[in-house]
Amino acid sequence: MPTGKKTLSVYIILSFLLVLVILACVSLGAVSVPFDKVLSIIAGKLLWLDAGASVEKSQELIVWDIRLPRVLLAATIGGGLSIVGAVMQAMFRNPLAEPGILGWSSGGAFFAVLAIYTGIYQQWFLLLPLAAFAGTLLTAYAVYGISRYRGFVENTTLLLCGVALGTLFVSLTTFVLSVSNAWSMKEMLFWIMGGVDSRTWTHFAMAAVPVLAASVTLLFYAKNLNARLLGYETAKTIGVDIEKTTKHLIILSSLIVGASVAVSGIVGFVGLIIPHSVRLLIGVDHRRLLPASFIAGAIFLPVADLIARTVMGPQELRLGIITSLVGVPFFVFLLRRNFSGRGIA
Amino acid sequence: MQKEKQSVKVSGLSYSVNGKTIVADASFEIKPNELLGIVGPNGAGKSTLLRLLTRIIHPSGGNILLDGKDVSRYQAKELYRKISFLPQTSYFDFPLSVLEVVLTGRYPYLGIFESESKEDIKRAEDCLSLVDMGGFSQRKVTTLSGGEQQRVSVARVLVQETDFIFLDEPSSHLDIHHKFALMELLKSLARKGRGIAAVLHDLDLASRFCDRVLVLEDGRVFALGEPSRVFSEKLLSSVFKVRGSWDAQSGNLLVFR
Repeated sequence: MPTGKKTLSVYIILSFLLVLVILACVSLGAVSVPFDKVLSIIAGKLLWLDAGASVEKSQELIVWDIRLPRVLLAATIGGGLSIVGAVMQAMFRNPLAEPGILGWSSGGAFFAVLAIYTGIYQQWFLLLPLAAFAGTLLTAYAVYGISRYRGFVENTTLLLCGVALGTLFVSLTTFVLSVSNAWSMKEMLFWIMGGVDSRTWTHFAMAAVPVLAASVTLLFYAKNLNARLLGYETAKTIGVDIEKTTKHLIILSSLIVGASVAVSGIVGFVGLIIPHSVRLLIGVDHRRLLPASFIAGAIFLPVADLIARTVMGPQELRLGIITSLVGVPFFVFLLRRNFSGRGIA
Repeated sequence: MQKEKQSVKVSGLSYSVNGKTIVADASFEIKPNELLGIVGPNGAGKSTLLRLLTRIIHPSGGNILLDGKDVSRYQAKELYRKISFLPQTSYFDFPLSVLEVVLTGRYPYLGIFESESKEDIKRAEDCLSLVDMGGFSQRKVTTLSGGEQQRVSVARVLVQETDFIFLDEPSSHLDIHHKFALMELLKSLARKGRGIAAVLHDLDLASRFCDRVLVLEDGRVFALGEPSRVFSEKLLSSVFKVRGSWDAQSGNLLVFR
């Protein structure tokens, strides 16, 4: 593409920032660990070296067992939710589409809670993310099916239907949690206002494998998504099989959202904030937008999590609160930009 | 027998939805090197006919043979290297650049990870010049006027380099100068061997530029032939509910209430 040089420099800067942010988020917190120690602990673990006497056992615990999996998980789901946001906006040709707003995350969270409540997740550890995936997919199809008419997805119906189903699933989640006495308020908050607190390497692995695999696969659909921006008829007559690839896109996106929700609950608005910001940087072409959105989201969410756990310290805020605080003004701005000039007031 | 090359043959084509017939038993042919105007009153089935011809929707009966092969049997990319379509409405709500929009016309030629070549970009720029949009390639489509966007869409169709081009009201949004320029462009493409079918609302435009016109009424082919033969006073009054006559001096069709 013509703007190759600019794109390349954006990628280099974003990648550099990503590494820096991950290290900084591991270093900072209620107990800060100096940068050089963070580096030597991570390098030591990765290369099977003995970090030596300079590193205390407690620092090693904080860096390797507590913060690194948490930060990497935040980066993974931040990247995943961002790429899904970009995909959904093109797929539905709706700039306000996003897994949180269209109810996908709530559907996933409800099924995850059901899997826990009924105890089936104990049968096999992957049943929890699979349940979340199923819930996301079901919601995605319901919202899509209701708002689709002869190849066209009606924008307002799509949004309203997504919001309505999302609210329904949050209510159902709250209901299930409140009838099961074992569940505390904190647990309820975890699902509805998501976060990456007390997450382990297992959680990270559980999310990272599907999120990365599906994200890479989505790159195959970059030109398909470009074509969709021009409308159903144009996309079809430049060779896009809309019906078939919509299915692929929904399944891949649900896989990412389901895997994220299963380990971190509902983290809203990331898929809105990041793709729109990245479009301003490098344009609309999905061959550039999708990978850049992933990296940018992977930068954004660890920072949001850092804010969540430090700003009111020692008390931690829910990550979902931070993303909503950033996301809602963003949403309102997009709403006003896109729906101005209709109706009378 | 000559090989079935470059032809669109429609026979017994019909389309109905929810029991309502929209296109009924339409049979005609589109020849290479002709500009065919498709005209008819509102709701006659013109857009539906184009959507059938371009395989956006599938017929309830009859068939469309493209170069001797049923269109339903083509692979998508193979089909859309032979036919292209300009829809009635193009959507430009994301800030793609003009060049990026036009280059999507090359997608039927590209593999899944293949990017547009320098030559593709050159082709796109050439097509933009043809529609008087040279120099606009780096502009965002969202910043253009309706007419300019329409010309970008035409360039997107041209860069697809297909034997047959179908256009749904290509002259809407265009000022009178660009309307004529577009029709002249389509005519010259037809002269170079393309088969072009355009839905037109403006009977004057159709009579001036089209080699043949196809009149649709209630989904049926009411008449097909040279404009001067088809647009008789009788037909204009019965199908279009207007009076009309041919001006002997200019040779143009005059239409009035």
